[in-house]
Amino acid sequence: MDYREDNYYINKVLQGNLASYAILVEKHKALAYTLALRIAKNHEDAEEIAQDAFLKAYNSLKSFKNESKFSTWLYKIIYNTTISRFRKKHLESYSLEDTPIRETGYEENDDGLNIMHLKERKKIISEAIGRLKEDEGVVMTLFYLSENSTREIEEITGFSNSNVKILLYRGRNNLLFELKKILKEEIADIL
Amino acid sequence: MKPEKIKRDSLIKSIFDEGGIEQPSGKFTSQIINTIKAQTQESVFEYKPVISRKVWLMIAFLGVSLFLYLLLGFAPEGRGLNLYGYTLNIDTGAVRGILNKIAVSFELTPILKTSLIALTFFTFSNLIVFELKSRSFFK
Repeated sequence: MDYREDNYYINKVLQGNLASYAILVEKHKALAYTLALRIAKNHEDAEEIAQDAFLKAYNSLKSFKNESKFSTWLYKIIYNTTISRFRKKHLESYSLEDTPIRETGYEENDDGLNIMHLKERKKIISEAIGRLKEDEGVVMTLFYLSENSTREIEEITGFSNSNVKILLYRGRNNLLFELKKILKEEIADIL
Repeated sequence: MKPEKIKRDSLIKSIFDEGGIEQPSGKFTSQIINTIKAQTQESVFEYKPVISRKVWLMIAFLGVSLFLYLLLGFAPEGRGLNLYGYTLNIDTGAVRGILNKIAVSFELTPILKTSLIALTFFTFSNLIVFELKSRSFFK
């Protein structure tokens, strides 16, 4: 489905058109749910949290000002809802010294994935991303999937710019490491 | 950015594009919309007290004013309201004057006085309790 700009639907919702909100939900539900899942790590909780966040967004839509994108505002609600549900300290400070270096040859992963079927690949990738730490998963999802800038990620999560960059660095390393590990396990299973 | 870093970044991007997104259940959107509809209906049928806070304040103000007027009405000697031997400085003549105007004339016997006071107290206390309950002060 081709969607229009978010503002078009928002104005309609504010005029009382509930169907337009259903379209907004449809448009953003996958990413909203994925973000919640990165922290919740379980499908039932993630769905409940994402739905809760969409309800909160609906109830406070009048207060939404076009200072930022609707998606940034929505993801912030989702992130805060998830964090408050899991009572997690989200203003942790990160430093590169704490980062275990897990250097992985990326070509190895690339080749390994290329020989697999699409469904298997998706399953393996999903599992590897799921193994990332909560904050790494959130930051990587916002950066690579939602294509948010580091400045927007700062706004959504409340992390400092340097923390966002560290989490991206760590996330990339850990994702490749986990992928390699899963691929090895898969190959060992086959053999 | 170094070529190696670019290649690595594009690999991560393609990994995320391929398997990074997850889909919620099929009833995700309809559940949200149904909850919003239920919320809207609840707010339409929201309880509103029959007597508003403003009206209650006005009634209280009038009641206190009347009471003060009667109390400070400086009843002439021997015309105060006699309650079981205690004479309140209420000019019953003023009340009687009003009653006479609406062509009612009777003497306030002790039993009648007590009944009227009890009835007034009972009515007002019940009204207050009912109003407080409706405002969820206590259940």
